[in-house]
Amino acid sequence: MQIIQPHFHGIARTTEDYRRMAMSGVVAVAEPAFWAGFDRWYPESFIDYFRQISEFEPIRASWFGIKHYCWVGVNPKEADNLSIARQVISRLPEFLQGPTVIGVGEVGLHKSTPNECKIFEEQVDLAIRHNQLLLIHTPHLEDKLHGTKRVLEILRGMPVDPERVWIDHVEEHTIRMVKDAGFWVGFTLYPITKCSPRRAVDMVERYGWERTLVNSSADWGPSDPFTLHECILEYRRRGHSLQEAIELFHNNPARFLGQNPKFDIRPVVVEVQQAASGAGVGA
Amino acid sequence: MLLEIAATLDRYDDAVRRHPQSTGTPSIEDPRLDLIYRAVEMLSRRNATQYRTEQLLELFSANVREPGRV
Repeated sequence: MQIIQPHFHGIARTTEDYRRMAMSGVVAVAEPAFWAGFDRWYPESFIDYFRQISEFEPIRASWFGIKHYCWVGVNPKEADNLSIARQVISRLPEFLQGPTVIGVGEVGLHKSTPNECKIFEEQVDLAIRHNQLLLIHTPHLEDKLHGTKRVLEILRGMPVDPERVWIDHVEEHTIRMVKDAGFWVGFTLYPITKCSPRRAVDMVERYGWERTLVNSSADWGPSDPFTLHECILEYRRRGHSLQEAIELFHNNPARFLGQNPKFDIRPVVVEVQQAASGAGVGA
Repeated sequence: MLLEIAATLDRYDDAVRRHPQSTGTPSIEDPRLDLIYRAVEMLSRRNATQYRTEQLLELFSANVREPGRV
């Protein structure tokens, strides 16, 4: 089965991960810009990071036939420093021209501070002005409910097309409000924390697979790119057809990301061939 | 899964008893511990009118507020 991993932090993974992902059906990954585990002191550090995910990672992924795309933006954990964040934002347009850069992300909120909200609004505005897709991070744990409501509140005041916006890391208490507002939702699967593969399948069964993207993030923390495969296994184990699995794990990412013409993987349909009458084995 | 929760609560009580200034009785004033017991109590109700995962996540969201948030 062909799989698209729509949220994947390749710079935190080994080449062996790419190889094993290719062997298990992954045909494309999309890498959002995120936090490095520490706050960067210089705008130039972000610029080099964007070069890494837009220039080098596509080469590494291509060694195994995987197409690599990326998003650029200032992640919410570093958005509190207005000066650095604004210097980085001023450089984003040049990266948006890159052949594998498909949008602005992951931007959003972490602790929902006033500065984070300002930088989030400025990046949403940039995405609108440059006609870009938008990938939005929502906070974790006890901050998620408040932060997700705040994200929706900010978006309500801006001329965004919900079809072109993906709000990520939803869980049981935030999925309904995001789907009802017309946005795409994302489940980010982890081995221990956040959302598990089984809970993701529960939510798909409750709310449907439309406008839904499943990913395993696979960052530098305790994570595993193959939680996505665990989710596929669980989905199939519960009796969902191969075509339904393809809709969720390949076609949905192709539909959403394909709104940017640079992403050229199209939805696929499984066709069962009829046996030719009278056909036998051998000549 | 349930055993892990039981073991975590036992481990907490043991740690309190081992503490040099311990009175031997686990404190019930720690708000985080109180939240865990409230969660366990919530899960023990048989007739849930709302998904339990949703209720649990809301419980933990509603009871923690960070300064500086808007």
